[in-house]
Amino acid sequence: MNPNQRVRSPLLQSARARWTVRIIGIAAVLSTAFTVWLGLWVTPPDQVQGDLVRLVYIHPGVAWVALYLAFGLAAAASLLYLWPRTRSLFWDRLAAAAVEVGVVFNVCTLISGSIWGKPAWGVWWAWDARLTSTAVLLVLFLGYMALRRVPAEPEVRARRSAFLALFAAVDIPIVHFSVLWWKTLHQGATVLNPDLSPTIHGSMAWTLLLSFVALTLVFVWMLVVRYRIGVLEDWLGSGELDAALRERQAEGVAPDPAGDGSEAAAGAPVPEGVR
Amino acid sequence: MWRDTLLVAGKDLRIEARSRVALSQVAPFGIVALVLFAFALGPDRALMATGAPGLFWVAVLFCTVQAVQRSVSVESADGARDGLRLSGLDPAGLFLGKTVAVAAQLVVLEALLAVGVVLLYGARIDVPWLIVVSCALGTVGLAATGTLYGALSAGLRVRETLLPFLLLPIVAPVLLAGTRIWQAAMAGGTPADGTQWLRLLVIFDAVYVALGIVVYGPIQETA
Amino acid sequence: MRYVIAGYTIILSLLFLYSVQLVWRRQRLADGCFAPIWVIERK
Repeated sequence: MNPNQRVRSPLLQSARARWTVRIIGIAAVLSTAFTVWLGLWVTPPDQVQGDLVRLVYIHPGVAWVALYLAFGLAAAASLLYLWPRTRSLFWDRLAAAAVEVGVVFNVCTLISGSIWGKPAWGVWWAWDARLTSTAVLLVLFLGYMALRRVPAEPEVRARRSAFLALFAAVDIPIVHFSVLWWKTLHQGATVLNPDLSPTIHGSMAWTLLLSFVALTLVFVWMLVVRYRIGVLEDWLGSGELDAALRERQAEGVAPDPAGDGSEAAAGAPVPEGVR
Repeated sequence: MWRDTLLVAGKDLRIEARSRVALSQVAPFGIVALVLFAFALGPDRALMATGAPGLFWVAVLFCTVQAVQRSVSVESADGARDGLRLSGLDPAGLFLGKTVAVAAQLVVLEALLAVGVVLLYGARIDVPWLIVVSCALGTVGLAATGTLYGALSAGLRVRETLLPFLLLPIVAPVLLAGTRIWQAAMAGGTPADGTQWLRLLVIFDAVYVALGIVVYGPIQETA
Repeated sequence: MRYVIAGYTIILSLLFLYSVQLVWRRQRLADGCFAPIWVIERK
């Protein structure tokens, strides 16, 4: 690649930022692996549920990330975007990243819950409060992603998506409470429930906590990478790269005599350090 | 704001009166939906009577989507939306006006569907006032959220497929509450349960109408 | 116990596959392919 074609990307990531992400990723993998090891081998089976209880090191963790962390972050970021004082496309892109990762975790929640439900309750699915709200949340997330796919200026798209997130955020408590008035099959809050804590064996409690930490780390890593992808997509797609290239070429660098400088530009040289 | 509400509601309803789209297209669609449900559930009358509340509300939801699509599309021609924005109409009034218009159409459709449900499914209504109130409150909720989402998706070419997908999950509480209230109001139900759900509908309506009043203006600027 | 193994495997695989997809997308963009992945264009 012609070094004269290299462009200084305004999106340059400092070496420190890249290393932080890498470390978070490694920490995520390690903590997850540790959790799995503890969950499958070290911790004891439950008195009532037997080995099935080992799913508690996966299911509540992904549920917490999807429902509260991801969705909460998306809603907060959307509000921050809509608020004039803090308006910045950073919040919009953060919300979008949180939603996409949230969808993945939401699907994991539903699947892990279903797999737990089949042997525990006898059914793959039940229409109780928790499950239904989670399913509705998934559909709302998917709607958000669908709306974002509609081509538009970044600001317009950001506004539209932010409003949608706002409507969804308002709706989720209502859905949850309305479905709560149905009979509930899903057990109540585990960690915050005082009745349950005496029956959680020490190592189980610690592993549960670790699972939350591990999955949160996974979420953070995914969020950062997905955010980066969003920035790259917007920047490369908006023609700023072409503009920067043209500027660079106009700086008086001798054009390629064979006249295929434009070809090289279309081939999109990599801005330094963009990854 | 109220003057603008009446202005806009009147405009939309006049358009409807002249074109009669809701009456000639949406209503038959609702009836067709009821008939199809009957085919789906089979000849067991008891089953249909039990399922009547839910089926009624699902049919209402389908009609809502149609009515909202229509409400949005009357303004997509000839830059009418820009015209509305420039006209100096209070956006809250615009929102309320469109909501009122959609709600009015829905009320008529619901009456029609309710008659259909009673006739076709053999549903027996014990407590009529619950039915009426639930329909009224549910309609307000559906119309308000529909208008909001219509505005959000107004300029999009994919609106026809996107709007239902966005709208229906949001109005799930209305479906839930409406069905429960109807079940309470039917022969063999307990009316006391119904009043609990009425509270939910009131909250839903209050939240989304308030939200619409505040947010409709800013949304218009993105369409 | 079958269910537990199945659950762990599926969830971890999903997370892993999604991570791989993220890294692949980032790589693709860094190589200069402008389009988001759902737009079918010349790669």
